[in-house]
Amino acid sequence: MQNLVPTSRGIHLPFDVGLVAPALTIIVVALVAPIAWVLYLSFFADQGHFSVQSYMTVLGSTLELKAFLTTLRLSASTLALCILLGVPYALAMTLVGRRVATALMFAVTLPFWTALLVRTFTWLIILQRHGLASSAFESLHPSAESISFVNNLAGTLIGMTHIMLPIFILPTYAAMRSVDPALIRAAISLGATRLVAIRGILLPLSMRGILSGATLVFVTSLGFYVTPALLGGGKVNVLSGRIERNITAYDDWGAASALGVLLFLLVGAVLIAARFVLVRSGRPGGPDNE
Amino acid sequence: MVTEHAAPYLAIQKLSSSYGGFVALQDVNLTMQRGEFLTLLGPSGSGKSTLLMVISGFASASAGRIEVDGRDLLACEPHRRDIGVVFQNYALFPHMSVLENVMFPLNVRRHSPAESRRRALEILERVELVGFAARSISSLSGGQRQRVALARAVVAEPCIVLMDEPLSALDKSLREQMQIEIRGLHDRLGCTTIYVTHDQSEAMAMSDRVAVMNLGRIEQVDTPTAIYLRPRSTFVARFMGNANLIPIDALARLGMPATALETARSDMRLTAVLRAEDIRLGIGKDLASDLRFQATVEQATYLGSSWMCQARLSGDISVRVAIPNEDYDRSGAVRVGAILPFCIPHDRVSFVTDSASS
Repeated sequence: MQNLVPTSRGIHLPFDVGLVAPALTIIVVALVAPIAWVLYLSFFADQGHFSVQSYMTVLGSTLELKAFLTTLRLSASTLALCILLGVPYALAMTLVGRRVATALMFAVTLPFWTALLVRTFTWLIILQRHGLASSAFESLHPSAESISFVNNLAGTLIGMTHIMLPIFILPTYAAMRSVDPALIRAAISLGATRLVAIRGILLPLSMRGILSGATLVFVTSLGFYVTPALLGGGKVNVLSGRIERNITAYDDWGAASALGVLLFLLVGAVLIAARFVLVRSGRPGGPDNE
Repeated sequence: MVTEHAAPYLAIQKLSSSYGGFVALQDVNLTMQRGEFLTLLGPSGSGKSTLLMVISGFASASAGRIEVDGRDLLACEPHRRDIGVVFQNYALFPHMSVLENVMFPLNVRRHSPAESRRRALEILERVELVGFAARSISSLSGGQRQRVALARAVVAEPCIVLMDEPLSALDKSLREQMQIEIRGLHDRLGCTTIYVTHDQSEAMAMSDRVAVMNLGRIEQVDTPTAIYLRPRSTFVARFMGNANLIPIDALARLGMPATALETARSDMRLTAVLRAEDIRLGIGKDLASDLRFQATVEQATYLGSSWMCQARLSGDISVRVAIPNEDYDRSGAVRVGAILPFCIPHDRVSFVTDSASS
């Protein structure tokens, strides 16, 4: 931008500010202001003057601490499932012919463009007691007790994984596609089996995409509300759910805000850690001179 | 060196390959001796890269056989063919160091890490890159990358080394230097090498033998000198250097001895090849064995080392003549429109068959 206006600083500075002003306004109004407001509430809501009471309440409550652990566990499990399913899927998309790859891509993007709520309710219908899944299970094991796949961690995990999978697959697939196929051929010509070529060449070179996808999945999972609320049936208490409870049930804006700030910090920490890993992984075999 | 009558190390028999209705290779026959450096030379689309791909296993043959040392190569999976390939854009692994790249073929062959390391360093020393072992690929220059690719291809001592236009990305001076280096490395290691290029001077400079390819067929396999001096077809003659192609009927009118022409006619070699540098200005040194003719100069271009002159004979035949600077100066008469005597020794005229054209 600075290069476009080769005049003196005094002239092009207001010009630049003018150009970014609309975007800046949106960011301030929609992002900075609410976060500042939450931050303010977390310190001042309790007694009207500055106090860390809200944080003490939140950190002293086993319920909230459990919610922290549940959130981390749910996010980590969702991520693990996404990696387990997503990496082979993206690999398949990369290695099969163009037509099959298009079909596989369609299968990923179709749910991706479907509303979150719709997908969650669909899983509710499939997984609920006497739903599709449990009927199928009962027909296989007639003696078994009627079981439900919802209102527990497993159900939530199924829904979460389904919703997060495209977010993981898309950057992973993009990274794998950008690896020069000649490298795989080179590896095979040098004596590597297909599997060794994939493990030794394709996967390491797609690591940045995999890490980006993993970060997206983990961070998004940390703040998920609708799916744990609907599929968890009150048994999966995540942070976002606790925030909601503190407001609707206890009218405790201070505690809710403190939880929000803590979640915000957690997300920030994860992003910084991911960034650190990404930068490190971008430098193979010592410093680049290019 | 190459012994002529020993059983061939590599034998390609009646090899054909086609995909999507396009015939990329048609009835290719080729034999090589152990340690030989052979170049596949041809324009793009002539099938030379396809032949390389079929040998390395990344394209399939629709018919034919490839045997290496008695082993049926086409029956082997690509990773078991024991072939070292140098790819056009090197295809070095960007996430590995120079040493790790060179160790890769040894590691996948389950050599011990110490052994792999020793051999990789040994070969890096041969290509004068031992000081770069720990460097990343992205920090290397084009010529250095080329040498890493070379080292990686030969380190496991494969039965054949294939090189697919490995120098096409380098500039001219570096290319000429690398030609000497590659040939030198080949001579030291003695690896049987098939080299692909579309650059005839590269093929001439490096090879024991050259196979000229056209439209999926091999037109001629010979030593560089034989390819140049005794081309067998119009395609080969035209592809190598500055050749004037003249129908032999026209040559008869110029006074070419009938016996030579008859022999050529009986072999269906109906086109005569007159190399531009074999034709001389007829300035007082005519010999009885020369074919002499008058021609009108239409164009004369200074090339530095010589003059390139376009001269029209009677009728619709024109030839290009390379005139040495010395002759140009001595004659003093080479200018557009001048009618000058030219001559060429009879034995420098060769006769070729007509090639299928693209």
